[in-house]
Amino acid sequence: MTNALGGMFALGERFTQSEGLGDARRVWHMQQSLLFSLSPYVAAARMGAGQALRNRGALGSNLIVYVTLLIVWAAIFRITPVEELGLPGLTTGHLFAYFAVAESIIVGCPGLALFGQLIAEGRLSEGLSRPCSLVGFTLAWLMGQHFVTTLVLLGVGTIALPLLDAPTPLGLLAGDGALRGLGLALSMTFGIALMGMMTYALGTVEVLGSYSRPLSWMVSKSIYAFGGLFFPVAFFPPLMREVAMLTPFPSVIFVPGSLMLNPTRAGMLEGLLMQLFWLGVMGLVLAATHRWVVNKALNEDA
Amino acid sequence: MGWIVATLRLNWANLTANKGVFATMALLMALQNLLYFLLWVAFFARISSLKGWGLQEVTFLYAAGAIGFGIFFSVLGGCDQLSRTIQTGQLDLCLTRPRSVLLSALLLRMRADSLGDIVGGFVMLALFGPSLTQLPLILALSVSMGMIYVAARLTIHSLAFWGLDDESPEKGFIAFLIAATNPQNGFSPWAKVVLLSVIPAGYIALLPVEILHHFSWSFLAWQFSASTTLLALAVLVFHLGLRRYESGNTSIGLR
Repeated sequence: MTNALGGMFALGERFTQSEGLGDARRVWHMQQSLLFSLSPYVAAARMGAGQALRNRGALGSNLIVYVTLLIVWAAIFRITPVEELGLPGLTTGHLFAYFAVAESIIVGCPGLALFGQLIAEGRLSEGLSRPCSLVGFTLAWLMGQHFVTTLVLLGVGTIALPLLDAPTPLGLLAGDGALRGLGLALSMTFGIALMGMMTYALGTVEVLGSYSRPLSWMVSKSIYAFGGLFFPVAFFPPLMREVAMLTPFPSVIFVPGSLMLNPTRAGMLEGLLMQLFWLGVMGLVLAATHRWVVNKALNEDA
Repeated sequence: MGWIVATLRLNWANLTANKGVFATMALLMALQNLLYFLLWVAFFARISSLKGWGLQEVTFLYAAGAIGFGIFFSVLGGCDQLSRTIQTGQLDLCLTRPRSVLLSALLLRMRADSLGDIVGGFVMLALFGPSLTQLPLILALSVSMGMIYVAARLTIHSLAFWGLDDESPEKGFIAFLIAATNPQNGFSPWAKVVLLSVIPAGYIALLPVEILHHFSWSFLAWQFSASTTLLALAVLVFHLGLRRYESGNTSIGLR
């Protein structure tokens, strides 16, 4: 694909040089340039997705973990007195569907320590030698893997939930139709992107020493605890809820999962905006860590 | 016994060679356990009980499980790598020793993070656990729970002898951990039978809590005989698999 787009780009350049730049040609030229510049990232995402699908062992074991979680938590939610949460209309099925979405993002993650592991193996310079942004390439690759695995898990969850007497994500989305479906797709994508950014930022710590793995434990448990893995942040005691909302972790799993709890349109929009805010913040963090890593790698031959 | 002590000394020296990394790993493991446990604290701040199980019961489940897990896996650090050891032919290293192959494989290293599990477990018990008068019983049950963890991990990893790849067993063990670290009193009676037989997670998250609530010597004897039997079965599975092992001829060496 890269070669094909490169060829098209060269052809367009010859064309515009010989004929002069009309508006239509300029637009065409810009489109091709954009495609050309995006192509490594598209290829990285496709590579990640392909790897996730081809690695049947990992996919199978992720499915076992996910289904075990669903079975265990179906039994727990069955005996949870949800009326004590004081939200009219809330059923154990809603909590279960929330859990199914949140867990699909967590279990689908290729590993928060993955980028750090690549650095530990001495493959940072390999990444830096590519003629594209290391951040963009790594993120696209991680997101490709994560997205496909999450989709497979959620697909299985959608089939399995009715067997466990719980409403499916599709069933809960049916009421509000396409809008909620679009919201869920966007929100899950943003959550996955945030986890990818955290993976990159955590991995860069490996340049200082072998600390990225234990740090990734802390971050993953922070996502579970402050993101409300099995208990939505909205139901936390007030102080803990306020603390959690000051962190990016609810944007990873709580916001996508909360779409299963019948939110209003305003609530849904608020959640998506919160995710966009944290994506912006993490973008700034990544830009800073990237510069630092490149300097460190070039100066100290990491 | 002498070689076990010598191996443990060597492993300890390896583990603590970089004291900064050792302390970080142990501390962060303890902290991450406590961090995750916060979610249960939030849960029980809003939910009165799960059919009779409250924060104390879940604290016991997590803390005793973590202590038992930590006691065994800090020492038997080779267990979580066993399938890889088998698949990559590194078991040759253990076969060259005139000692137990299984123990040699399990004692290949020690784990600092599992020591963090022990620390985290005691902190949980101190903060939210049952009364301290029950501490001896809790510690005894921790040991039994740890034996079940070892049995499960050893059995699942031994499947590598029959061709299971080196990554899947650990994921399988994680599935077992999920079943074993969450309240099980919501399951139907038939599911509980399964949890006390085929998938023995009930000996971690069901029977020990019952023993703590309604102590009886017969229940305690059942718990310990089950953990001992399961551990013996796991050792048997390993040795049955070992007969199928073909040397990789890649790692012959002495250590």
